[in-house]
Amino acid sequence: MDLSIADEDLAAADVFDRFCQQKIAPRAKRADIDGCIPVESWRDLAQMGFFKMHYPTSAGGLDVPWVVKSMAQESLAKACAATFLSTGASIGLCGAPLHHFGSEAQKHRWFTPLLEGTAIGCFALTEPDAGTDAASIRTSAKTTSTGFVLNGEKALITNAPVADVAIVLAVTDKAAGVGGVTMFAVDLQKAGVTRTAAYEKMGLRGSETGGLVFEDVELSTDDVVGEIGQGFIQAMQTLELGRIGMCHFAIGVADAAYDAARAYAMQRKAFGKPIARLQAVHFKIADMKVDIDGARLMARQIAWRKESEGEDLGPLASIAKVHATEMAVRVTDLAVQVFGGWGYTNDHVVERLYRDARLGPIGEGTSEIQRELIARALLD
Amino acid sequence: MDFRITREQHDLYDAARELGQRVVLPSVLDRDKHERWDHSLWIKMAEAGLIGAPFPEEYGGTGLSAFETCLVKEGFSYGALDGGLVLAWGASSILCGIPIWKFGTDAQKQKYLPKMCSGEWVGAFCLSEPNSGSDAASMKTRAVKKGDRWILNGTKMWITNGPIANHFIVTAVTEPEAKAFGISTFIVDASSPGFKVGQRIEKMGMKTSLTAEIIFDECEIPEDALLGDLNAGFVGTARTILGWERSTMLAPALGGQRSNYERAASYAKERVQFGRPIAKFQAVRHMIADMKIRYEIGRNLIHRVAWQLDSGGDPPLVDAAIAKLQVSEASQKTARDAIQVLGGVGYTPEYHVERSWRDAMLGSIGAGTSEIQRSIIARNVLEIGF
Repeated sequence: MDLSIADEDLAAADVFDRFCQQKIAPRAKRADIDGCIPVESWRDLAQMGFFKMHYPTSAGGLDVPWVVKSMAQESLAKACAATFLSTGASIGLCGAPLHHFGSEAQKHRWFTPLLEGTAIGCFALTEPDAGTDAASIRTSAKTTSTGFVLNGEKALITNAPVADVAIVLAVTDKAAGVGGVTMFAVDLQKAGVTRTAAYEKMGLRGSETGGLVFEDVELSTDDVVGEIGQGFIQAMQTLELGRIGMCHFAIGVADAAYDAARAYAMQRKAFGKPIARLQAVHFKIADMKVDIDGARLMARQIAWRKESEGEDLGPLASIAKVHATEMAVRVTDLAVQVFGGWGYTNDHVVERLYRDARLGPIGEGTSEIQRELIARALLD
Repeated sequence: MDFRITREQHDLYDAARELGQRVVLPSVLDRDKHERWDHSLWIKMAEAGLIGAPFPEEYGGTGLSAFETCLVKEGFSYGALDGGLVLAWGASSILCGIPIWKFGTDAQKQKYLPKMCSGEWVGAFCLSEPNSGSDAASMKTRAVKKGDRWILNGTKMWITNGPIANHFIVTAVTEPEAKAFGISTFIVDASSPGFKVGQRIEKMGMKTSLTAEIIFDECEIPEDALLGDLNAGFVGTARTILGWERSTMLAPALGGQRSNYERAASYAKERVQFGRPIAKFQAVRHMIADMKIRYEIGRNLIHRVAWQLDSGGDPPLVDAAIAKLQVSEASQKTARDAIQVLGGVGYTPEYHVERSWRDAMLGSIGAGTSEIQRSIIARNVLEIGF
């Protein structure tokens, strides 16, 4: 057990954190109001090497130590959760399967532009009637003489309105159940692809979410990512990485709320003293700190296990994810309470953070399915 | 940064668990019912190197790190399910032993530590008084120098191991006007003239450890019974104990949590209602999942403090308070939920969960209440005083 972080890693993380606070955070409110991530943010993050940070040099990445990557993700989520979500969906959920399972041609065509920040990706698993029960997807890719023809509808897809490429999960062999699901890389410019209007969401409004409709979209065998029939397993492996990302999302959002609440509690006076000196407020700040520290250590542990030791996380990923995301809901709720009436207005960041945090217990596997996975390991 | 637990460290954990389960668990119901101390168990723990876990081998200790001490304490507790016995262990080894090791003269260390590690002597720690708990600096027990002797007068309260201890670490006021900076620490032998064990205290839980009031009535101790520097009792000794008590003394609570969620899980798999095991009902499944979540979160927080101790220096007060607060409250919640999963039988002693809940209730009170921990955390992160 050694929980120390090397000085050079702390310094690298600090550089990125300052970048996030200087460049990304000031654009967060506008992104929330306009409903999109500014193009400059994609560009600036690419220049900072944020996308390349996630991959080894052999894949064109920067081979950044896992702990720096973890801290950097928290910093970005803290500065603007919507930006974190959109960039994470692109470089993580779309990039990771291309990196791990994709062909050289797919990597050249799609993965490299994702790394450069010149293309945006998305991950299309969820359907209008298939969320947590992902094995019940109905989008189909039927074999033709030249490859496949894709039909179906995907829903609630982060980046769908703006993405260039989608990782799409489709049924290639209905009789084979989850063993009949295949992963495809689909060029969203193709004929037969339409995007539904972006949803209006409670939070994370800067990150555009939409649906994709596929009508007789022609795909070639070269568009298959990984193995035919392995799509479901590949998707679940991708989502395991996604759970680590969701921890960082939640910790970043909570950290921003905690900082704001501390500063406000010191500055706002009531009954002749800063409200920070009133025990009811005092203890809320303490509870936030306990909650954040617990989540952060757990996130570090799973990131270390996965990225340094190459372990399968099993229920630990669920433990970390459910705790961190529910923690962020609690912490942002307390922060709004500390701000009182002002916390209910968008004059202060906590109003947005509260809305943003609420995705955590839903996205990338609901809290309920995470608890099922934890319980399964203990009970079944 | 790594979270590695080595094979050898896992083995230490397992050996402690095995000892606890084999030697301690069989009699725990009876000892809890009759509030009985069994010194033969203490000797067996000492022989296995548990009582002397963190002390250097030159004093008869086992030479484990603080992190490893946490592992053996968790493992032992997980097997023994005896909160009182591990409390007695903490009061002796940690609250009494650590200050002697860290602040004692060589003569003091040679006198006390080997016999503590061997199990012959039990130690205790006297801080609280009838009217001085969380506000420890308001203590009234007084120590006055007379010639080459110290004369102690006062009453200490809630003293774990009080009726059985050989010697006591005692905090007393030596310079009243200096308040917290006028408190010193002494080692008082139970054989000292004027030392009395007062009333035995009946408790809700932790009944396998004995608790008493301790009275100093013109109690006379030698000059060299002063531990550490004069007037450094509160800011020196107590500060050093904090990190140890808020990690190693909470690690057993993790063992209790683990036992509780495993017991709830095994019971849920066997208990059939409405035609299926209750483990198939999501309301039960998710309660057990939450127990597991709390355990994993708390374990990291405890291990962080232990790692800080092993890295040298005192752990940050905030981190120690966070660990103490989370683990003590999680233990209560998990014990409560284990009773809920077991239903009626959980409310009876034989299944161990009702005792674990009574034992766990001390966690948020002893060694600084949850309210004090929250104050410490908030004061530090807000950078303000009370």
